[in-house]
Amino acid sequence: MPVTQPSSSSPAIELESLTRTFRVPHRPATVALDGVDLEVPQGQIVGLLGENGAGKTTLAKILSTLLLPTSGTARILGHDVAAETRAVRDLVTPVFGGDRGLYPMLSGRENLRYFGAVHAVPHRELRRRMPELLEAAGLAEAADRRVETYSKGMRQRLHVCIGLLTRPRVLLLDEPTVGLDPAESARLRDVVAQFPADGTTVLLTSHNLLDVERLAERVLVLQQGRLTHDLTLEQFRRLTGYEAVVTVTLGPSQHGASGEEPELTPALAAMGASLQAVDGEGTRILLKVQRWSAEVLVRLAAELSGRQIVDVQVRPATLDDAFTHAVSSPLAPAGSEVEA
Amino acid sequence: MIRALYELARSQVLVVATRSVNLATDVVTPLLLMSLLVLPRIERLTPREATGVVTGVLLASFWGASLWSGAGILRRERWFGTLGPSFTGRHGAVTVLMGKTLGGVVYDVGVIGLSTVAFVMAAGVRLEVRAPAAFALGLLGRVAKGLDPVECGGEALTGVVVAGGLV
Repeated sequence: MPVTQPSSSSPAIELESLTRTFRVPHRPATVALDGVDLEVPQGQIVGLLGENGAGKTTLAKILSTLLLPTSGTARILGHDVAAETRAVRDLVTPVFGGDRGLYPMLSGRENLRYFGAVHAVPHRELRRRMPELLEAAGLAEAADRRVETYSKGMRQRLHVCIGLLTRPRVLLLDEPTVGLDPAESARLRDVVAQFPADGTTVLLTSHNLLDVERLAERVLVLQQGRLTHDLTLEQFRRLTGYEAVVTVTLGPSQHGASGEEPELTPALAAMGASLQAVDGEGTRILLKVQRWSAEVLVRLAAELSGRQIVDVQVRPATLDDAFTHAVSSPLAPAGSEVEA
Repeated sequence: MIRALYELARSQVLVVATRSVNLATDVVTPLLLMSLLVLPRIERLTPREATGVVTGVLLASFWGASLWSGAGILRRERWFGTLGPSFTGRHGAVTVLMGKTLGGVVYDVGVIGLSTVAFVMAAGVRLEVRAPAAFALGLLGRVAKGLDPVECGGEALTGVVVAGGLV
């Protein structure tokens, strides 16, 4: 069976006005993807974020030829997913992960052998690659055990092994670290981080933003089927508008004699601080700092001098903050807020 | 292609070998039918008649097992979440389905054959096959039809007719 050769100059993923609508009789149509335009060059790891129902899985299914678009086009390395299904399947491997998608009564090695046959991996290559992949995924010792005895992390790593059997040019990873402990997650991320080295493009869908932070160089956000943000990781991180969050907890003695809440000084208010009551036992001042520096700390100390400070915490702005900011901002018309 | 079919069939044999319903379709069914049809009149059956009964039981058991297997393959694939990944591979759905059906049929035929032979030997039933080659070819033909889902209905009807005629 001839192997499809990708065009060296084509983008790995190319979407033009991609739309997918689900129609159910007697119910309003659901627009899962609404005119999405996107271009991903070869060898890039892209994080695809969005709330549940934003259209991430629909996009992954269209790119893996499991679903047809309603309108628009999607191309993988120059091949149309609807018209050149076979060629696209040669180039793309979806890894949907989770507990399903494997034969629980077969061993890890037998699962690899089966999916190798399904994906037409030549027998010799399969025999050579199976031990390599199992070793790289840390499954060599458990390879002959039934998959039903595997932990969630082991199943997840087996999914990735299956995904790599065919040496895909585009890998669609859906929630690769869901349900894994931190050590397992880190191990899986190490495996994924090596993919771009041989030109593999990865579209990474995850609610675990640590995956995106450690792996992705570019972040896409889907909201209600529209691509609202297309940013580099650094641009995405700065989306919140602040670098750090300072939380100062004041003791109950800061309340007035009649029990009224303390007020922010004009200087603190000018710095953008906000007040929060803490179970009637004290007050918390939240300050989102645009540019964190020693000067901010000095100003803060001066403003709070004479007050009973119980606790001070400083944490950098996280991708969770950026994601919350991205999905809480008003939805823009398709494509108008794509910033990269 | 042949290699792929072999690998797919081999995996399917390993998958179906863990099914508990195999005991009913591949062991209990032929033994039960054989016990009902052969044991009460074992002294009166001529070798030729006994061969007819055994053949009928084999075919009826193949038919029952192939129906269970066919339905079971799709049900299990959906249950395991392997339907999509299996059918969107480079070989395509038809090859994968053929390989899986082949594996299921080979397993069922093997176990039903063993159960039947075990019964025949244990009960001391004497068989007489006048044209062994034609007999084997006929059985193979019936088995091959079990690989084709479209022909499954035809096989089912044939199985009913044959079994009905024998009873």
